[in-house]
Amino acid sequence: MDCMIGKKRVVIVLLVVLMAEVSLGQTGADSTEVFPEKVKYRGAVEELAALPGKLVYMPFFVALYTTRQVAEAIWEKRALDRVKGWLTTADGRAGVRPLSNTSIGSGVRFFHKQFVFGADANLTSTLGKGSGRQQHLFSLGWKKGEVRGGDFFAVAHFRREPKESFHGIGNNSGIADKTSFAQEDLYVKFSYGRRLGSQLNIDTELDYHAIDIGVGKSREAPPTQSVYAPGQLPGLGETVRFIKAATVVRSQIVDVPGSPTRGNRSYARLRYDRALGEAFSHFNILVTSEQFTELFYRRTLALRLGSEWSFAPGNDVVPFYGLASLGGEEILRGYQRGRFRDRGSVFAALTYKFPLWKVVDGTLFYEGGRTLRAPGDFTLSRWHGTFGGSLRAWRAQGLVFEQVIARSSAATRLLFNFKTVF
Amino acid sequence: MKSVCLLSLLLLLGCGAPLLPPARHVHRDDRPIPAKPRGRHPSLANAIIDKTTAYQLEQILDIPRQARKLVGRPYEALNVDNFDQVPNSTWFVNRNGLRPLSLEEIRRGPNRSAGPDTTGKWRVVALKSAGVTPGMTIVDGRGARYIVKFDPPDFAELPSGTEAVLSKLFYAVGYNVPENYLVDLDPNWLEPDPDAVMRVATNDKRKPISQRPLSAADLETMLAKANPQGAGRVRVLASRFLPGIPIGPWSYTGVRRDDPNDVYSHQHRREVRGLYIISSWLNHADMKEENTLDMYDPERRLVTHYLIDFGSAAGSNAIQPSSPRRGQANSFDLKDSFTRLVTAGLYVHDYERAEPLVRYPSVGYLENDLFKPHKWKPMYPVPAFENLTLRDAFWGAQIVTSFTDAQIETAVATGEYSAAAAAEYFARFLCQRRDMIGRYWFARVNTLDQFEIAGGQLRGVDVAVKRGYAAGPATRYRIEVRSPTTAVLAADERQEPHLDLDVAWKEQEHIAVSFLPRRPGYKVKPVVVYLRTADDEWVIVGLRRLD
Repeated sequence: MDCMIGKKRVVIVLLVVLMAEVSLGQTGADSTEVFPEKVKYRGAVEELAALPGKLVYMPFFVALYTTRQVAEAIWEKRALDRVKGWLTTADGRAGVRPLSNTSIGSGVRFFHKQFVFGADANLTSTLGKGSGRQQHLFSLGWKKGEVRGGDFFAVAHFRREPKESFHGIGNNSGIADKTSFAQEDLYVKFSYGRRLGSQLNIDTELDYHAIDIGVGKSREAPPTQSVYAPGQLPGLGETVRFIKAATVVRSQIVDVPGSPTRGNRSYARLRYDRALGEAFSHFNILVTSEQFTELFYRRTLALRLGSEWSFAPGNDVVPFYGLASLGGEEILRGYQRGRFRDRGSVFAALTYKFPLWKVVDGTLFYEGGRTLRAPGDFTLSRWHGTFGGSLRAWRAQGLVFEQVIARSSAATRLLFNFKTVF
Repeated sequence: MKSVCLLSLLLLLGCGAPLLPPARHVHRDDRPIPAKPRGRHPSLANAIIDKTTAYQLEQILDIPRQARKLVGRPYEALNVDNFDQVPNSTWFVNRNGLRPLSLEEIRRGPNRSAGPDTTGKWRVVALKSAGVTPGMTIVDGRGARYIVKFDPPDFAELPSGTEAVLSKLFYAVGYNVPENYLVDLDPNWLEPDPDAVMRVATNDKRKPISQRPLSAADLETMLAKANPQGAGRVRVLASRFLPGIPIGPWSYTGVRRDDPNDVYSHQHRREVRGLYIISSWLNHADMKEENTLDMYDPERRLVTHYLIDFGSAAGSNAIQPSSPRRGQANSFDLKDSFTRLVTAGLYVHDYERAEPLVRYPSVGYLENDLFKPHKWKPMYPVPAFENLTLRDAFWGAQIVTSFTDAQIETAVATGEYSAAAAAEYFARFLCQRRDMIGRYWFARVNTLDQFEIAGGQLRGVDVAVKRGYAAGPATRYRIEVRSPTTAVLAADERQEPHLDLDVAWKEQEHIAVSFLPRRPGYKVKPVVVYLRTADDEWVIVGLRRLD
């Protein structure tokens, strides 16, 4: 009897299995009640063989998943627009924007259009890495030719740099001569600019500028004051107030301002600094010109030449911080800011720019320069050099982000510049 | 030991038993499903990054896939029948590839009416102001709903003509596409529907896009933008709403889990893989998922899969002519960018050198100088295209080359170009590219197909020879007949792919007849055709391509 029941059970189980096979479409028959299972494109053995690869892929998947979500938020959910919206008043007149770069640190810019008497107001505050590095700038601007056909700006600026470096004066100053000082600048500037033609601008500036030189906070170098006596280094240890007057001429004749392939950008500034109650009056002239030449298919060679001179009339002297200098974020980027100082400097930069994507370029550059005591000292020898490259993202109107690596005999420096994209 | 390993690998990869007839079953996908699938709203940014980086990495690390590529046995399409063909489904209907459509059928394409009713008013129910090209949704006098698209003022006829032509060709190929009509719109037909809404970009970025009631002034503003000359009539493309409920785009990978009919991963569907060949022909590079759409039919309770929006294909890039880059590189092409980075820009891609020559603004940039059939690239990586095998390519190339010059000219004529020379140029572009596709792919696969039994013979057609992509007199066919036990029953070399069937072979359970075409510079693998007898008559039961 038990045997009979057992056989029946086996038959029933077999029937159930057979029916299940049929209903699941394993035999190939379709049914309107039950749908076939998803058809696998490979068998269990291959799935097993794929497992190690999947395990290796997992961390990449997680990282890329995050990237994808961020991109989706920015692109589809318009996160940047929304952030911009949240950082701006509903009427779009006032708001706050982040900004960051190597030279000024990170901070925010507050703006208020039509703030007072039709002027747009901007307040930029940045704090740098390290002790007490900060910069605050407030400006009122009447733009778009509102003032007698020109633009008028009133600017108040405070800057504190506690770790400025001074390596001595002259082209041969050594790295071992490095000393440290702190510099505080406070100035109020008024500028009026007019557009002469479509690509030429001329600005006239008038400043009141107070400069205070203090003891540097660097642990790597002794204070400049402990190495140099005030008599040896004009401008050291004193607060000096200047009245400055300058004329600036700028021209930009390029095809795409964000990533030029043809054209020229030039800048010339003549400034007179008159110290109040001190014999530090001097002239400063800065001239740069950059020519862009398309080699082939948006591969572009840019040659930049420039020179800066500071000279004092009569018996006056030029304070050390008013001297022409090389190093920093503009030229000879492989050296610290103010690495070489003297009355004059000459510099040249050759940049090769090539497209990586629609709005991303790569660059390779070589920069050379030297300081001079007098124009007659000019030679092509003993130039200091920096080479490097960068990745830069741009929009038609200008640069958005740039990451630079620059190498000199002194150091390899990583510099970045992020301008608000909105 | 080495040979044992190789044999194991081959068995693992399913390369055994070539003399057994194929026993494939393709599931129907038109059975009523229990519930409407949920809508999909994929993110383009997410998809681009995923398909450009994550998916590529995943594929590289997929050991079995790489092993298969190494031994030349990639994963083949899953939804093919015993004759390596795609059965009709909610994805694809065999049309010109199976039977040449008449010129009238080509001209009509997917259109089932004369277009929107032009005798009455068009109620504007929605207006799109965001974006560069204005558009609107209207309901005509008969209650039919259309999306109305305008041409950019600087490139009259460009996107509308392209979309009209391509919808006819995609339909003739076999894909589901919307009905598109060219209409000379009289602005006086338009009137805002009382419940009409308008999507607008707002100044308040916290809500970048908002919706508000549509006013007559909005309509006028939009018309002024679309018709700056104030012409009495404006040419528009009216795209009829697809039947059913839209449930979002289909994906190029995986399946729609809540559609039980969707059982084949899309990257392994022949018609989705083979779409590469069709798209390369029509330069339909804008292959983002948003340009596909699934529609749920609540009455039949099933999902139909469509291709939509062809305004950025062939020589058009929606509001302007296409460029040499389109079809040559992905929009964000990691490989090209990396090549430029490591060569410091010294490597210049061909598309960078090419002159963006536009002979006729109404048809845009149409040049074949850079076109290489196997190197064509959509704007975004498409996983299904990356799984393309020679068999998929043959399937696609066979369809592309099935179009005659007359059919192509007829399709192009539906673009209603005012310049006859522009239409002629467009048609010539398509014919030329069709031939490039034929010449390239037919040189790499066994081009025998369309086997039939007639007059006691098994006859195949050499598609390459028949369509003029290979020289017939220079071709010989090596034919071998084998029994299920692999014994050679007969072997011969013929001028034609025809075999006299010996009655003595009827004793076999089945026979496998392999055909190998031989011509100078042409090396392919055989096609094996399987025959059985039923009621003492020979029946072809399947076909196996060994390429």
